[in-house]
Amino acid sequence: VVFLNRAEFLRELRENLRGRVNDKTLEDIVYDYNEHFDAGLRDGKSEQEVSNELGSPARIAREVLAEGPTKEPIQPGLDIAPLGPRVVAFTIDALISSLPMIFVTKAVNVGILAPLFPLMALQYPVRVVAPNTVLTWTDLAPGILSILFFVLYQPVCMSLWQGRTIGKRLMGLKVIRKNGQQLTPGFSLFRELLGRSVVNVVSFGFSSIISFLWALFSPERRTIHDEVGGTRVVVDHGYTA
Amino acid sequence: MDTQLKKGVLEMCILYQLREQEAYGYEIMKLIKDIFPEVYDGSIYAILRRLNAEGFTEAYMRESQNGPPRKYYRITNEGHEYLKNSISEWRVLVNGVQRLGI
Repeated sequence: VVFLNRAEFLRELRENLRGRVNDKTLEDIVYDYNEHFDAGLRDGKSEQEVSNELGSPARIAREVLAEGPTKEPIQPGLDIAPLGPRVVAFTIDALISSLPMIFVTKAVNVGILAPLFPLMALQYPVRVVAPNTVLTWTDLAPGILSILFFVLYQPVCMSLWQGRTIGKRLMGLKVIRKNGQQLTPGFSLFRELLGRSVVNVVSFGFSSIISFLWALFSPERRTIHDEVGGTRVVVDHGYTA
Repeated sequence: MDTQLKKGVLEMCILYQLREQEAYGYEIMKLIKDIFPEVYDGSIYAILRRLNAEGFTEAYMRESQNGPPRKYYRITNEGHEYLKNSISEWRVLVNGVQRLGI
């Protein structure tokens, strides 16, 4: 028999409860067992001893679910969004945000390059200008504007639509703050500019892939930009929810 | 904790303990383990959740002198009422069983 430590125990418990109770209930249940570990350790037990005495997380999840009905109603807008629809929303938004760059550079591959490797893609609009010419603002403007549109599209959408972009609206998703509150323009700027654009450039574009893997292992499916921005993505149950 | 009967008995014991004084999960668990050592610690919280959901107990956070705040449970008026009924049902049950000579 393998005895789980605290982190393993709580992770397994979450996995067994996810999708079967709402987020608030899940956190509430996890809280109880986390507190139990605290008390057990104070009592001089090891994490393994405590988890051994608790029984298997799967069994606990079964019992807790069987004990229902809890009187807590399902809270709209707080279900963790699955990664599939998020990737589709990301692709839609990436395409929309790259459209001006594709138009300016007439290079379709910018649309694929930009969301994944912006550092490489952002050179395209600048390269359009022929070498050995005196650059004027008129020459540079289309390129700069298309880059600005690329970078600002998501945070502006999220600020206007409380955490939603066109892609997210189509897929029925929205970004909220980690604590469940509505996204504010400040948080969306932080999430998109620092958490996505800057991190992506600094990591030479690999943050997109790392982010996806990170979210796979995150209980709340939080990506790197979610971690930086203090946000998470949930199923959108209504415009004001 | 496989049968409804056992669950009911554990509920009654927990409520009975809380009648005396408010307690946090770990304390309740230890009290129950003293009498029923084979009960899984994890099951106690499932019962506490149900008692809370039914309104027989209520939970609140209380600061502790040595350590982080803890979730304490206290019995409600409905809980007292329910406990009284449980105890009389229990007595009827035990009496019946004893009259058979078990």
